[in-house]
Order: sequence, then C-alpha cells, then structure tokens
Amino acid sequence: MKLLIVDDSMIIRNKIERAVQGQPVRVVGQAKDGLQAIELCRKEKPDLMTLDITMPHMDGLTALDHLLEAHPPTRILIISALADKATALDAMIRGAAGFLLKPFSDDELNEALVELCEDAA
Amino acid sequence: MNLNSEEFQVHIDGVKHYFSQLGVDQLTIHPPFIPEDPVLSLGYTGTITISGARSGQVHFSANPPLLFALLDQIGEQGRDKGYLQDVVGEVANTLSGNLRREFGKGFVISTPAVSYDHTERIEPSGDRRLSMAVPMSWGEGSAVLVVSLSRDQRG
Repeated sequence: MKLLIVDDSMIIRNKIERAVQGQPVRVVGQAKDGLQAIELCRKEKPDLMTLDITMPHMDGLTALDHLLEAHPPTRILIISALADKATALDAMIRGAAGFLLKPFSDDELNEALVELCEDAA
Repeated sequence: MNLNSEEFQVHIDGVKHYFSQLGVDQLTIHPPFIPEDPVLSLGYTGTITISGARSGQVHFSANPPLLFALLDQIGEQGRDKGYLQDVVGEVANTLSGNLRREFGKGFVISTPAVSYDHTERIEPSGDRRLSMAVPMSWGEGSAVLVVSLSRDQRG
C-alpha cells in the first residue's frame, strides 16, 4: 500500500518512515504542510496517509477536506499532539479514518495503520 | 488568579508523560519555580504561542546533550543544528498540544518558533507573575519547560 507522510517535523516524518519499514507499505512521499500534502496526494494517489494538524501554511484539518476531495479512497490517520476529544471528533467527522496522539511509539503507529488497512479491506 | 498548585502539577505531569511515552526512565524533574525571566535559554528553545481562552507562551529549552539523547531515543541519526531545532520545536509543540487534554479546544497553539541561545530572543508576552518553570535533567543533559499563561478565561 502506498503511504504519504505529512508533518512539519522532519524528525517525526523520519520516525514514521522508519517505523513502517518491514510493513507492507511503501512510502511514496513526505510533505511538511497541508499545501504540499495536497499536491503530493494528487500526484501519488496514496492508499494511506499520516497527517499532522498543527502545520504552517495550511493546517491538517483544513487540508483534510481537500485531500479527500483529491483522492477519496485515501485512508487518513491523523497524528497530532492536540489531546482534546473535540479535535479528534472533529477530525473523524471530517472523514479521517483514525486518530493517534503524540507522543506515540512505533508499535502504536503500526497498530493504527493495520487497523486502517483492515477497515479498507 | 495566579497559577495554582494544580496547574503546576498539570505541567509536571505533561513532561513526565511525554518522556515516559518515549521510553525515557532516567529523566529527573527538579522542583518547579517562578522565574524572574520567563525566557530561559539552555541552548535551543522551542516556543509555542498560546491564544484563545488562555494567552501566553510555552517554551521548552534544552542543551545539546539532552537533545542528542532525545534524538537517540527517537532513533534519529541526524545531529546537525537543523535536527536540534526540529526536535526542540517538536517537544514544545507536543507538550503544548497535550495541554488541551486539561484546557480544552479553546487552548489554541501555534506552530513552533525556534531560537538558539540568546541570538534570536523571543520576547515574553503576558503577565510575568503567571510564569512557572519546570527544570529537568537526563544524564548530562538539561532542559526547562517555562509556561507563561494568562488566567483561565473559561466559564
């Protein structure tokens, strides 16, 4: 499955990419804000996406609407530090397939991605 | 209303949670204090501006040894200035975002601004009397979380 990683932190993007090594996913790109994410989503048509919320230029929740419009089948896992339930609920209502809170372990990330893949099957 | 002991504990618990989730069990948190200068720099500082129901700033400042240890813990090999700036900003971002568990969606956080030593000083905002500092150490590394917030406007 094709995975697009979106986070303004290079360290988080690298962490996610390392965590999925050995998993049946192929990282097709990394984006550091919502605008780049939309461009890459249109180009790569990923099956899965990890998406941060607090980013410059365009935040993740705003980008979410455009990403699902660009490639509706994409399953999007929100990965964010915003720990209030209202934000998680808002993301799910807008069409996110899952929500993972930062800080996260590699196991937690892979469990969340497996769940997204199973839901898509 | 100044910061009370419950709010001090929220910030201490936030730091403990962050580092324990990353598998760090050698972090020592030292007694919190009210700083004279709410912008304390130990080297690299990530700053989040807070708006909404509360206003102010959250600063996380650390020296390179702590940041190197944190990068090791995350599994990141990079060590140049860009990586140190990134990780200190990400810590500030995560600690601030996690505060929404306590303060709710109205606690609006910015993207991080990062400064190095005192060359790019970020001026504090808000009432200095409402600042608190949580110092910590990890082996040779040191860090401090400084939270400067207005009073809680929630009804």
